[in-house]
Amino acid sequence: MAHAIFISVHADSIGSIGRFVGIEQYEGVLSSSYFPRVMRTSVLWIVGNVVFVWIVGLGTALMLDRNFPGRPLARAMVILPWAIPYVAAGLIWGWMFDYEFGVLNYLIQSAGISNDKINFILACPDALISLTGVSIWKLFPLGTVMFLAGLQTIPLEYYEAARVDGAGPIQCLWHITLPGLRNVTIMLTLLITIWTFGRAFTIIFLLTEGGPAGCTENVVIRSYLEAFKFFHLGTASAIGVIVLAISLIFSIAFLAYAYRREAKSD
Amino acid sequence: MIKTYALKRTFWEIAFYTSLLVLLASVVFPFFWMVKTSLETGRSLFSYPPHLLPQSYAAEGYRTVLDQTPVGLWMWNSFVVAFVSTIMALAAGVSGAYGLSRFRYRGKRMLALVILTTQMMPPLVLIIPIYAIFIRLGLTNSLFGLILGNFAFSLPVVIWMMKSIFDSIPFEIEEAARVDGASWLYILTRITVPIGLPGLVATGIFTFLNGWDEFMLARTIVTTTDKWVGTVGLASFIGQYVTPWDQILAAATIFTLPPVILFLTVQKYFIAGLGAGAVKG
Repeated sequence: MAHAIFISVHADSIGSIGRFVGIEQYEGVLSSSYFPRVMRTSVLWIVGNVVFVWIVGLGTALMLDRNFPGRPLARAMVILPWAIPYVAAGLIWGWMFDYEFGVLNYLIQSAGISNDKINFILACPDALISLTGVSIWKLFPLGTVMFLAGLQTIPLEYYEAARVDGAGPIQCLWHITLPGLRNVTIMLTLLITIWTFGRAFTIIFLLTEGGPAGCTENVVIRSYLEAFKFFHLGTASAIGVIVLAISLIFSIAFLAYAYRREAKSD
Repeated sequence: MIKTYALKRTFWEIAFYTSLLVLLASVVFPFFWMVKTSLETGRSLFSYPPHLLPQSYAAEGYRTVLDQTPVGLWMWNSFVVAFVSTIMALAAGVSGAYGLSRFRYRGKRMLALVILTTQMMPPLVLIIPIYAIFIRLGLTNSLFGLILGNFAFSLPVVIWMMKSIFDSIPFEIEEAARVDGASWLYILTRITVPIGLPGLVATGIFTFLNGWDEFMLARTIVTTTDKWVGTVGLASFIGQYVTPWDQILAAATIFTLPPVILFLTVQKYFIAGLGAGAVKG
């Protein structure tokens, strides 16, 4: 890590560390035309992931919390996207997104949703939406598992008491379930934020490499391309350190929250 | 009154099963499509509209990909990297976690938090310095370099997971052994680790899967095809002039099987452990 900061204050050069340039690299990155754009993509990516992992994760957890025939099987199936390697997930979706032969366009057309084919990963902003979708598909089981565990901690008596008082399912959800899941929600939000900010790499790199026209290029992809495509190690490290600084803010928020809860439960 | 109640109930039941089906379909469909495509060949593969069921079960994609590309070798490399780095991380992580969980010393809490922070660090920040250091040490393009890198990525995770497992084992058992004159090492290897074995296995599998899945570092430091791991090998199919989807997805299916099987076998441990961690914080 110290080494990364060391590289980031030196000029770009291939194979060795360039001369010392101080904060010039950082100025270069912060004032560049691409930096606001890649930051914006990163933020959109995080928000999309957090919101939909939350919604889908909670919805699935609520469904799987009920008793119904075949529940163990359904649970095992829901976890599957989590188990598949990112590269394999990227390849499958890449094939399903294919403009000419992809099955998704066929499904959409035959369901009558749209008559025209959608250019899933070759148009802007469609590409960003499609890739975020893949990421959500891969991540939501984490939300499901965490919410399922959270639901176990809400005493059943609360629901019984509410039903006696005449509350419907929606009121129960709003006044008992959601407040009961507050802690899990905060943990999940922070975790997903940290992960989707710093680790949003494999899916994007495989399917679009930041394209089309930089539309899906976030800070991680940009830094990687700077380092290993253009060999601007200094610039790349400067972006990396900025990413690190921002992740640290989220991590500290996460730790402060976990720490406070631990202190409370002691 | 009773009738509207019954109606409402039926409505909720229908809504429930419909959304459950939609959910399961969207989760499973990509897997189904991967296997289906991997079985197709030539013309039926590139047909539009696509056939929803395979037209043949010739599985030519599998034969071609096994004959023409070193998929077996890549998988083996993945296995070696993931397995060796997991064993190293477990060996180092268990003793570290034990120290964090059992002994009292100044700054312990701080140390635990610093380790957790490194876990949250974006791997990107580590990759550039690792690359620069590996070039100097001559570790690029070697499986050993990859093992070291994965070891560094997974060590904090192992320490953190094992710490919470050790924390849940009552200290009294160890004290009893201590009174009987057992050494710390004896207690750790003969008492604490056997009790925490399910957790240790789950941690090991989690680490193994991360190593199996790792792409960024492997893509960066390994250059020759005989040292590629599965992730890099799979990714290399993309960007060829004509993308041979049946072969790619055959390789992807082979590559996906081990983690999915592992995952389904240990599902229970895993979910229990992770869920408990989430609730307890």
